Amino acid sequence: MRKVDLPTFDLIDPDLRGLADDLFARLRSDFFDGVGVSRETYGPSETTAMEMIEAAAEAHGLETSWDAARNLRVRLPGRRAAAAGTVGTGSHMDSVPQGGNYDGAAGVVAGLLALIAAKARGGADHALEVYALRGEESAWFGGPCYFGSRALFGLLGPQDLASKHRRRDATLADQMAAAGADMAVIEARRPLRQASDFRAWFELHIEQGPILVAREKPVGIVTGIRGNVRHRRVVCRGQAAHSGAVPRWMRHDAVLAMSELLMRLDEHWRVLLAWGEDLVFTTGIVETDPNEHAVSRVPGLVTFAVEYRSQDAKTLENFGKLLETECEKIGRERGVEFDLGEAVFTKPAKMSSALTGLAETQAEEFGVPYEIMASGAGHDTAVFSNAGIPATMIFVRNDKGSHNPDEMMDMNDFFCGAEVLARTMIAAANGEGGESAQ
Amino acid sequence: MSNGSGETPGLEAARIILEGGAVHVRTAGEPFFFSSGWASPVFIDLKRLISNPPARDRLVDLLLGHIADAWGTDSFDQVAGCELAGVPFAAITADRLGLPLVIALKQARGFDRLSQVEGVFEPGARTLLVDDLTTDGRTKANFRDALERAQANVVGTTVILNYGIYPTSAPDIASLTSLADIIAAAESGGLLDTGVLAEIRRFASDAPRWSRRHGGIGGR
Repeated sequence: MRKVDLPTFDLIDPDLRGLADDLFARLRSDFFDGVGVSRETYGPSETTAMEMIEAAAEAHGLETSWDAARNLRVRLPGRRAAAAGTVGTGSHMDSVPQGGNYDGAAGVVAGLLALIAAKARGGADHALEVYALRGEESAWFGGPCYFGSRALFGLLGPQDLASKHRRRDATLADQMAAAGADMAVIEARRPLRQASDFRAWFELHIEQGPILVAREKPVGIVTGIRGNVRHRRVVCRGQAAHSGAVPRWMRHDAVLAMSELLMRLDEHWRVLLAWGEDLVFTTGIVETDPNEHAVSRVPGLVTFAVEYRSQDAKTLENFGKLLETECEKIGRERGVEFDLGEAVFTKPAKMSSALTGLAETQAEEFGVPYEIMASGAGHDTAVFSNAGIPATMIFVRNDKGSHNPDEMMDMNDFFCGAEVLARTMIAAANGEGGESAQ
Repeated sequence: MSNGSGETPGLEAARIILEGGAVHVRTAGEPFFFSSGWASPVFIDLKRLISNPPARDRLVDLLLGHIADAWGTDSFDQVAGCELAGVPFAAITADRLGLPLVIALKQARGFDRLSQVEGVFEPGARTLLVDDLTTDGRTKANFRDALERAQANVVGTTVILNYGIYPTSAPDIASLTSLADIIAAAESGGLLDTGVLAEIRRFASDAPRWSRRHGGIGGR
């Protein structure tokens, strides 16, 4: 990876860099699982990691509190008591099983550094807050995600709370209660914060794709976050039959029908990309029933997952219609039936152009090369943005991808991202970056 | 060879393609992605021109002149069109030359000699392979292999447009026009705006780098 000459840091001084190095080292050693790090959604490991952040915040004289969803909030009050609306930042403390150390934690640590730096300089007009959010990852409870941030706005529904743990016989509600969440408040869907409490929201996160490495920039400023549609369990029903005795024309082979569907969708995807649409499409699970499948049996049943993502809600809608049409056509041609089951829709989020503009100005004044880009992966910030809070994200270059133990973030890139975050938050808290959310 | 106005065949073909609305450009937001993974600010869709008889006729006239220049008038026993967009151009070319037509398929169907071909021919048939355009030449190699496995003697490959900017795996493709001609024709005819032209030039000067920097595959 090519190094840039480091610009001069105003805010992220050597003491803060030492603190970050120390926190990341402890976050890695305390949660190493033999392969990567594991901080489980609403598990004891997530809580312990959050307490580590709490202790560091208190040691630097910042206010801390825990909300009904057991998110940790660190606060630096504003200089002007009358200045309504805080400037918030934060990210998630959980990781995927055997994940990397920086996914999520980097944004919490960067936010903490920003508040400490702001405090040392006498604070800002508006209050500054950093959240260590719970449960962003979908890996632990089989699909739904952004639990901590959605709880902030009263958006956790019964289906979320009934999600089953990937390994244990426990629901998300059980796990949240064990972590100390106030389930009466959560189940009543009472918002813990109002969108109007926030003047702006920022999140620093490692980039989980290859773009900043390819474009040789340490920092990215995000214009939008891809939304997605997930069908966790599509069922294709054909007819089981003897694999030797039944001729082709009499078969209703569920696996061939599914394969044809996936290849047709792949071809649609290819053409849509050629025309410049933003789209990714994945089938990450395919299962025939182990109790009945056999080498010598024409499969009568297959279940599979379908996920597609785009920055454009219209593209998601159109691709959804294509999926339905193709299921219907193939169903007719092959005498099978597709049941798409329930679809979970996460809206794409458009970032505030006033805030991306402010972050750009700050990155330019700081002198760090940056890239304007969209986020392919989903983030808590989509929840804040879709709640009506002006928001944007700062990405830090990261080699070797994410959701694996090999993620590679150069600490100098992190310090550059943290400096841009701190400068931008302080500028926003001193009245720059346009209107607040009303 | 040139027409009355001093325009070369390559530039004339480029102008017809531009005027036919087949050149799509996008210099902001998501780039176009080709199936091979290259990101590009230009997407040229020659299939549009099959719906335009005067443009189609003139392009085939120019292509025939180009074929005669490259191989003479009696070098082929048949014309093969590449599935899908090569087929209409190959059909008109075969018709004009009075030669048999076959279609080279993307995928084989079954396993006999002609399994990746529609139409019939004897082993050794001298064949002209025709497609609408080529980017990095990879798909052309697939069609050529299909014909050679069917024991055709592929004497030449021709396309209307070769981007001419990719590290190509098939350097022997004879093309009527190129992205450089498109740029030149657009400039002299005022057919694209100058900012767009500048971006296309940046792209054309190092397409693998442009692709890599815009989220596509990149050459080393």
